Amino acid sequence: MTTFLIRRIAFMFVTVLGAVTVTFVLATMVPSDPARAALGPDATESQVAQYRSERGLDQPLPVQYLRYVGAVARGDFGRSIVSRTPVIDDLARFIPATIELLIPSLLLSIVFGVGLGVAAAFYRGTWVDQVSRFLSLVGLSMPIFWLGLVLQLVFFRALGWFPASGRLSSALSPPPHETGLYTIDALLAGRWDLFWSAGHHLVLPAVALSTLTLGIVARMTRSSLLDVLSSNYVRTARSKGLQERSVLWKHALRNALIPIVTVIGLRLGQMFSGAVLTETVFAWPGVGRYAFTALRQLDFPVVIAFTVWATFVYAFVNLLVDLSYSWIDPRVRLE
Amino acid sequence: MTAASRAGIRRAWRRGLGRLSPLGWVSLVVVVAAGVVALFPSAFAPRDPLAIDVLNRLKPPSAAASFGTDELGRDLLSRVIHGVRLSLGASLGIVLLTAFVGIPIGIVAGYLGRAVDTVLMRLADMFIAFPSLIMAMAIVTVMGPGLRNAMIALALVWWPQYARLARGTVLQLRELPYVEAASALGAGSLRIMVGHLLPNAFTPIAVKMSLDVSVAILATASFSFLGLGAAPPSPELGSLVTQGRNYFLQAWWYTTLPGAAILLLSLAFNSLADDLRDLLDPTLRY
Repeated sequence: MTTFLIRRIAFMFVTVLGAVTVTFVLATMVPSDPARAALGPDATESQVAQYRSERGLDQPLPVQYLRYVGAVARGDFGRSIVSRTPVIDDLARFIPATIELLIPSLLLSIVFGVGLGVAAAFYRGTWVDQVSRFLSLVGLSMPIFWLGLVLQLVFFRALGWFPASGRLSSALSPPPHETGLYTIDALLAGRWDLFWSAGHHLVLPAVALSTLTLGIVARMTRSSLLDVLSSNYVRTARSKGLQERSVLWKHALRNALIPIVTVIGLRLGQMFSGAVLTETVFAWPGVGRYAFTALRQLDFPVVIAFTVWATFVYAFVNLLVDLSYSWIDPRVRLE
Repeated sequence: MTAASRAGIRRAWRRGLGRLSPLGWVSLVVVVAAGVVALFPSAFAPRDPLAIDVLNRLKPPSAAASFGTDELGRDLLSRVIHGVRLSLGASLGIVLLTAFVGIPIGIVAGYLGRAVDTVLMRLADMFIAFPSLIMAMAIVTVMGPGLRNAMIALALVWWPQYARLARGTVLQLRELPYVEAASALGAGSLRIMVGHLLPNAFTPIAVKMSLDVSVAILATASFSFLGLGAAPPSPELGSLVTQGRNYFLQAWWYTTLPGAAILLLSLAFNSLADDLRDLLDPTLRY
């Protein structure tokens, strides 16, 4: 267990280092001059030269690389070239909005995905199975940016049920900052109007973001559950007269859980890019949209910081997934 | 290709079409139709996809223009038809390119083993641990937006999936007597890898490739939607959705129909690939 943890954490840091390296290499390949980009076209040659030597940009690339890795290791991602603010402050400002979007969509895809998959396995071969298979294929095939636009068209434009963009009605000001998640901060402040508005704004983007993961979770649940349902101990459970319902939920599902949990962890990486798309469509002020805007402006300190953050979270969640195996199934030993 | 695998394919084919699900049949029709349309877009498009007609701007679908027109009066159906060609071409290109990079790496790692295997697979693990589309977005931005660069970037981040799959299959095949026999007859490593391992490792790879077409369709469209892939006035499907987004509150058809085409294409490839996987290899699971 201990060696497993040490090895995995070491690999996590190697992965993050890899992400830093790849983005650093990419940043050096950009044809534009970072000093010139930071100072603008009006700066004189000597100002540019001074900027370069201050930032170490006149050093050889390997030296720059080591310095950069050192800075990142201390949590110093530098300043954004565009906004001139420390990148870490910007990330702290935008990350909560993305987390507030990711959690409900992950919950949606788990609840509906597992439900759909269980229904399909339970009613295997019937029309329920067919419908569930079709729905999960639709989920898998959905261009989420388009779904976001269609949801806006139907539920905002035509029906007027949900707002089309942003995190709150423009008439309201955000709750006092505690976690940065508006729904939770509103509850902490006891402001039901704010909670309602924040939740209301969350519905459409969360639904749009959840579709792909929902489809994958449903398929994985079905096939994993079918495997388990044909095993001997399920036959034993049935033959001792247990209700089918209890066989399914208590005996089979828990044993079918490992591949489902694994696929959810692996999906998280794709959900970051899904967040870029969803946040763009719904003008959601999250870190995905912020990083993407930075990318278009070749603001590499921001891009690197975002990539490192996303890689770290992804690696960390997948570590938790691996650790959960032995909790789900006590026979599993992590070595 | 060995005789065994030829017979296997024949057998799969005989049983195959008979065992397609109804959804699989519909998907097959959609895929074949999309393929034909993609090969001969001009034969199917009612008008020139770039022909401007400012008198008929943003007209809703009608008998004259069944998908309506865009902000310059271009016929949307014709643009979608040419878009299918671009999207489908790019997606197949991505899958082939990715497989072309990943498979040799996987076979080499699996067959040679030892240090080569360790180095290549650690590298692959690292790439798998990245949020791949985010990384691909960064790569495209640096290389410059465009459909071709988007394809290269996606191949750069997706190759480890093929390398892992090919390696895993080769590890099993390597121990089989026919490989030993080939080696005993004096076949070199290259000959064994290309002539013996590659063809026999191909079933799971073909299944993965067919499943990945729809992933590639969605990725291409997403990149174009974000302005990283095909740029206007190109009628790539994702790019059409972006162009329509500026008018989408007054012209619902402009974003809705090209996006529906993306969904239909990717759904058809997905469900066909799903059936194909069940036919070729019932034990595989993704």
